[in-house]
Amino acid sequence: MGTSETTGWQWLAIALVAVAAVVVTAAFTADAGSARPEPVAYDETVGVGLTMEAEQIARAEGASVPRAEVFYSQFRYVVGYPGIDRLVSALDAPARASQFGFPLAVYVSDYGGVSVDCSAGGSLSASATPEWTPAGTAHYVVDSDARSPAGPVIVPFEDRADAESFTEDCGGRVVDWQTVRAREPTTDDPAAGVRAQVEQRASRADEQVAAARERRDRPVSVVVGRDVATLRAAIDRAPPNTTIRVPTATTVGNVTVDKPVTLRGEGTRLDGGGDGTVLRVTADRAGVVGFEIVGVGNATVGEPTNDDSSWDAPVRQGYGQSDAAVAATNVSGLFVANVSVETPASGFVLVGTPGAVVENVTVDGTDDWRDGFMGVVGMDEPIVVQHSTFTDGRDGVYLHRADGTVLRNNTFRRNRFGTHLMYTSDALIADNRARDQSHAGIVVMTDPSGNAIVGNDVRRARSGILTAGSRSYVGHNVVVGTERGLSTNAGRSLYEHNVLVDNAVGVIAATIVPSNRVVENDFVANDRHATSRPGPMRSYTHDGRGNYWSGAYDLDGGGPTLSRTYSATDSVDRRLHRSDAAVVLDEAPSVRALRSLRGTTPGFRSASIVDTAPLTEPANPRLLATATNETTGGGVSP
Amino acid sequence: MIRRLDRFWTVFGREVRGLVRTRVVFVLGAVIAALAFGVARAGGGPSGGYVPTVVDVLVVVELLVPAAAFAIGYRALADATARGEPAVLETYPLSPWTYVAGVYAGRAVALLAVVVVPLLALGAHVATTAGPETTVLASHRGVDSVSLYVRFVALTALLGLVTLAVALALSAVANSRRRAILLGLFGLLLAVAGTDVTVLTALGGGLLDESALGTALALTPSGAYRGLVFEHVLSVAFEGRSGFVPTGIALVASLFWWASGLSLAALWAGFR
Repeated sequence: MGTSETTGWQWLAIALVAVAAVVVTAAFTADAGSARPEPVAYDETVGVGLTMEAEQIARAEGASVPRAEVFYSQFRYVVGYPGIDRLVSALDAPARASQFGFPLAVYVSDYGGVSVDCSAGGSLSASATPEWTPAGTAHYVVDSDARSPAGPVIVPFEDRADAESFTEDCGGRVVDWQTVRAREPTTDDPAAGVRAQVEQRASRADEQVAAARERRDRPVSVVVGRDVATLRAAIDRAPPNTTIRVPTATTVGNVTVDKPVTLRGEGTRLDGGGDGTVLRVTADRAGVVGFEIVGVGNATVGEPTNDDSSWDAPVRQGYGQSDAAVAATNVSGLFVANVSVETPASGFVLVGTPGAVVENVTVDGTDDWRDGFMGVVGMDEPIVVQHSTFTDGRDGVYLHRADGTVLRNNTFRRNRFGTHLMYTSDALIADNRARDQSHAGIVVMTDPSGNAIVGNDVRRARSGILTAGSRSYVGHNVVVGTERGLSTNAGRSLYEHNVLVDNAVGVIAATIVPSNRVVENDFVANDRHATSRPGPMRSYTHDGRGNYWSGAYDLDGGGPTLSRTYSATDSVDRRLHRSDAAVVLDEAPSVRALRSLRGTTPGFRSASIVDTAPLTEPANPRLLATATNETTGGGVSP
Repeated sequence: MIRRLDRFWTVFGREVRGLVRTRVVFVLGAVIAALAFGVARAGGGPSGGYVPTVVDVLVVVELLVPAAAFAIGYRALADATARGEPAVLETYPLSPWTYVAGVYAGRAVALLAVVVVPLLALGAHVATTAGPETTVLASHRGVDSVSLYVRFVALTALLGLVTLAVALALSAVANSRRRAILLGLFGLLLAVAGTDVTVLTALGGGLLDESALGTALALTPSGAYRGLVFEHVLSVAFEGRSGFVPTGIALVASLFWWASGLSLAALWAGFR
């Protein structure tokens, strides 16, 4: 080795060591995490928003909702919150650290830069979209008159002077961020409130049914065929609050019921003649009991109207005006019972009918759901539909803005959807059975809130129960033999005591931002017990109790929960119920080493579902027994 | 002084050429790369970012790096001793310190090559794959940062250099290949498990309480490594939790293991 060659090597070695030293020094002196991310437009954030209806109303009214956005240490997306109270309760949420890490930066709307007032009925309005300001240094007006469609709002300002001038017009007082953080959080467990309301909603429906059933007890004043020839003549002659008896089958064409009377048949056939709606109810407190209605027209979509400029005018035209056996608009106290319908369009179309009750009816649609329409359409007001059967329709029950509706003990067969909720909040969907729907058993769309889906039994459909919106309660349901059992698309919601058997996928964790509680459910013999859409880790454990996953195991034995964490999305765990050899791989040192520290970076990991306290035994043994009992293809056991 | 440096370079060059000639280091490098990539990919860390990747590979790296250090170092001096090289060296004006330093430096280059290159490649893989699933929404990196990964690689290199010094000392003590293998295995087991088990036993036996736990762990090479990784890399994943091990003590202890390993090797080589 010559001297010059050695010198060359030496220089290279020295240069390499120097470069490495500089890079390493730089890496250790750089303060990772000190850079504060710049705020982004609210539209580019992910979050659990207002109900879509509230958002539509806010937009229509020009109301402004104070917003917040948070950059979390382990979550790649920026999370947006409609309302400062939402922000505070999200920051205080117990699962926050294990899902998102800690907040790197928090921004809130600055109402200082825009012209703002609260004169329009307290509704907060702003001349433009407010800019962002860091939450920690902002000033907040609390207890003012300002409101959003979702309730009172806290209004943030960058400058204290702006905040104070706002209080001169709208009242309230100015506080700092620490005080806002320390405020009593809005309910930590929003869906538990919905669970608590289930019984209340049921008894309110009982009252509604009891009131409507009074239509059955009216004295008979006219008998069609004896006193008068036609139903039309009978309605004209009958005094209000009496019963018209219809003992014999009759072709009625299109009849308008414009008096508070009860039409009572004995299973009597009413033929509409195949054109239009058979009975159109325009009077309050009408009753239709004991008929077999045929000859309904086949129009499903109404005429376009120009006088309706509301945001949902196309929906009203498209869904609220179809031909039906019975249609009612803007009447109260309607009672329909013991009516069977054969229809190429809808069974019952109820638009603006507070107190309406439909019970013990059957609606038979078309062989192909695409040719027919809805069993029941309910719009604008709460209705009760119970103990009824809907077969071969588009949707068994379709609801639009029918907040507070109760659907219970119904059976849906071979429809597109069993029940279909649009813009409908605070409903109770209980103890219904759905079999062989082509698309889904129970579908909730358009981000409503406060819905309760309880005790339903859905089998054989593409999807079982699809939720949406927020603050919902989904409990004690059975879903068997679907491609997707249950979607947890409704955020801040409670999914408990459900039984998912023999589905291609039991549960699909669908929201990007995890905010749900999913516990005490039984997952048995699904191809995949659960899968997750992108987003941070979801923890399916609460208060030391998780779910029952067939295949999950531990080597300790004993105890109500397993000591070994189960992850339904893990490539080994998810095969445990399908192959015992997966246990052997699961115990491999390298696999265990891989898992040992994963819990430290949950937020960065996408699409994972982890249960740290899987149940040793099924949580719902009786429901599980009913789920695995029925083996017939299409029959419904009584 | 200049002459001593030249002699150091001569020994160093000979070691590097010898290692390149045997090609074993290339196989070792390929194995480490395959394992690091395999574990990280199986864990899904690279799509999450640098910190999740570190979490995925930490346990495997903590076992692999000492293993590689012992594989590269266990015969470094034993072979030479068995061939009677020190006796020959005595006829040259070459001090055992220079000799050991040259051997160590040569082996260290090989070790760093098989450890650091795969980890840097893994880092490059993270840089190209980590990213949000959608571009519709605004995204950011959170606390994740390439500087954290560089810290991890640097700390891993430190662990390798320390265990290589210990391996060299054991290699000097052994004067036959067979004994070198046994001593090497002993050293490896001590490094990857023995020291932690000792601390665990002391903790269980009441000899140690939690106030001294961090210090006790910092005193062992692998405990210091793991502690420093938690302290300087993974701490970003913890809110309000730091003080895993005292950094100063961990660094001084690592330096101590490194210096005493090389000193022992030099003294032993000189003694013979």
